[in-house]
Amino acid sequence: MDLLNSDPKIYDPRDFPAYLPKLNLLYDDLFTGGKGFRGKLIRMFAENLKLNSKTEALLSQTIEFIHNASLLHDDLVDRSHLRRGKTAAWLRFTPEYAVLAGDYLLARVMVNLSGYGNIKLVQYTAQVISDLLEGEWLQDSIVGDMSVELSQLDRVHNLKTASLFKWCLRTPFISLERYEPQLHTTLEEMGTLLGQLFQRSDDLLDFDIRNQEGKAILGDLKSGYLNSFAAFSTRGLSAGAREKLKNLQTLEEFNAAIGGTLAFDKAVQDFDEQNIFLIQLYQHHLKNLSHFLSETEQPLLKQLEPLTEFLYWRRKP
Amino acid sequence: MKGELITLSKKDSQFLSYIDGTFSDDMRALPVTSLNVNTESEQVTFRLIPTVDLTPPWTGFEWLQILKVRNFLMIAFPIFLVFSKNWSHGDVRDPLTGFLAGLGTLCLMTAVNLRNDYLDHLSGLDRIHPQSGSRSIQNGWVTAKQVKNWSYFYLILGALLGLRAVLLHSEVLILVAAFGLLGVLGMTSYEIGLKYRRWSEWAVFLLLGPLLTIGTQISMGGSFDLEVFAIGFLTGALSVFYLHLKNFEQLMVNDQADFQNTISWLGFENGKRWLVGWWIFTIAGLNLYHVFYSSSLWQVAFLFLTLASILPFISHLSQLTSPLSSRMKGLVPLGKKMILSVIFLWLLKAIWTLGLI
Repeated sequence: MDLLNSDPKIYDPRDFPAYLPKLNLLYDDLFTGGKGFRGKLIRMFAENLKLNSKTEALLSQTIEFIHNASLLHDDLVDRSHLRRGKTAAWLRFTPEYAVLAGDYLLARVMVNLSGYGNIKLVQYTAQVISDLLEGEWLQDSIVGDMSVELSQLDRVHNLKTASLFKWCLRTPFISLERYEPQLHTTLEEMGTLLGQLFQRSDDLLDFDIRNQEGKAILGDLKSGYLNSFAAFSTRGLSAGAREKLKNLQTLEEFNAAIGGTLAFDKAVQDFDEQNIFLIQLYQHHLKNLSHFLSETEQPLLKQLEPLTEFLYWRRKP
Repeated sequence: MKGELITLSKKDSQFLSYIDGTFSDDMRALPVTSLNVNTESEQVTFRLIPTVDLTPPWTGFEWLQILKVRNFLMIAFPIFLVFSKNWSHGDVRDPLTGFLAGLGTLCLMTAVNLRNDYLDHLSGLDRIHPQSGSRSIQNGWVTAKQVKNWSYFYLILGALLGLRAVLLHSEVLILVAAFGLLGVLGMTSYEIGLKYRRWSEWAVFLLLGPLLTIGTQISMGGSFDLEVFAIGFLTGALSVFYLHLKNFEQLMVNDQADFQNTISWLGFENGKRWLVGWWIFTIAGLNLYHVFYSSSLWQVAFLFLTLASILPFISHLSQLTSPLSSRMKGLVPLGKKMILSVIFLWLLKAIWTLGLI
């Protein structure tokens, strides 16, 4: 299964009212160009757990709607000008339309899920949306704080990034009405780890590490946000020195601030080592997951195993 | 640090033996992640490490940390204040009993601290908060079971040391009963313990405040008086201020895991107001006390010191914009400095009263 390329546009224009000006245009723009990774993850589970196509479509659409709603709001909150290489929706349209379009996606999620009739699915999805917003809120509250620590950022990422991964892993089982608490706790652990690894890898892109996507360099730092790698690599600096990081414009300046290229390389190596432990933890929980799967479902494990390769190391599985 | 990983849920029969460290004699299970803490579906992943590979920074260090020697000040300080007050009034009628009772109180408080660490490890509070507790169990220097057993040892030792006071001054028995009741309510078990409920701070207020000072006074052969109650009231308020600061620092973790206390009930913004209010209330009481019981020199000194502490504290709090803010780390040390400066000045006054300086 190609995790990198799938069509994230998992909706029909008729899903949205035709009479609302610019709405379909905005969504066309938003949904094109994304990797649709989360939808793919759902498909992986759907195939192995033998979900019917209606449920699979509903789950894939739901996660993409939530994810894209969060991007619409996120870009406005962060004042990001670009999304997937294009002008962000709040700039191309208006901030008001961006907010409303995001809200509308979340409302559609609830309409679609409640129509499906599984109250636990609705309940859990509402919880994930609330976690997402809490994460966004907390992240905004630490913008400009150049002394924030990795453990504090992990709390934000657990709410903001990992919650969607957890949703992808748990909802296929919830839709099948498989509610074993231990199964869900294991999936929750795995989702947390995948989310953390994805976020940390994404934060490394900001420093041009494994940046095959060509993401803008030092984007987080320039907008006053100390991301996980920045927090990790600058942990030995004084508060004053950290404050000066806000003014850095190039990677060379950042390297110099933390003690040169060698120190930077060492920080990347140490950061990777810390995350290798998270990968080991993920593999450990994957083994535990096997106890909850029937024989016919076991192939799912083989497909889940290389996820960290893609999510952290950015290697095509 | 390498080691085999094992994940257990609360429903697993082995769960408790891994949590309290009794599953093996030569291995320790260090909690790596704890999920769904404070719920029936709690799940903990442990890393198994041979005991020989786990060494504390230096011999004896782990015990200083486990016994929370740094907290002894909050017990020794009120006892010393009562002693100095009685000494200067010529009221120390039974110094030996008073001394033994003081020592016994230290032992009882140590028992409470140990029991507290044991319960916080069991409940998950110390496992999910990296700054909470002594970290000795989480670092694998001792097992939770050992900590629990030592808490019983100090409880018995404390009771034995206090026996003379109970036999000679029967009123102490009422205070011991109150102390015991609070201890039982607070530390009986994680499920029913007062510790994880709102208003639990009042137990700390009584234990490190009026109960402690009045008990000390009576053990020394004295009788209840308003000054001793006032000393207890103020030292209790100082201790609770410190507890509120710690709870504020851990607000997000406590709230997410549904560990309740006054600060988690108030929330972030109101919690900040509560901290300022509590400090102003405490220092107002402190100044009032010195108006009644100190000379004008000390009154001015206390007024100056306490007023000087308000602005930096309010300024630090007003700059806290998030429970994840890096400035949060500086809040407890700042509060500690404020408390310690009050204690230092009060000790100076007590020593001066004794004629030692």
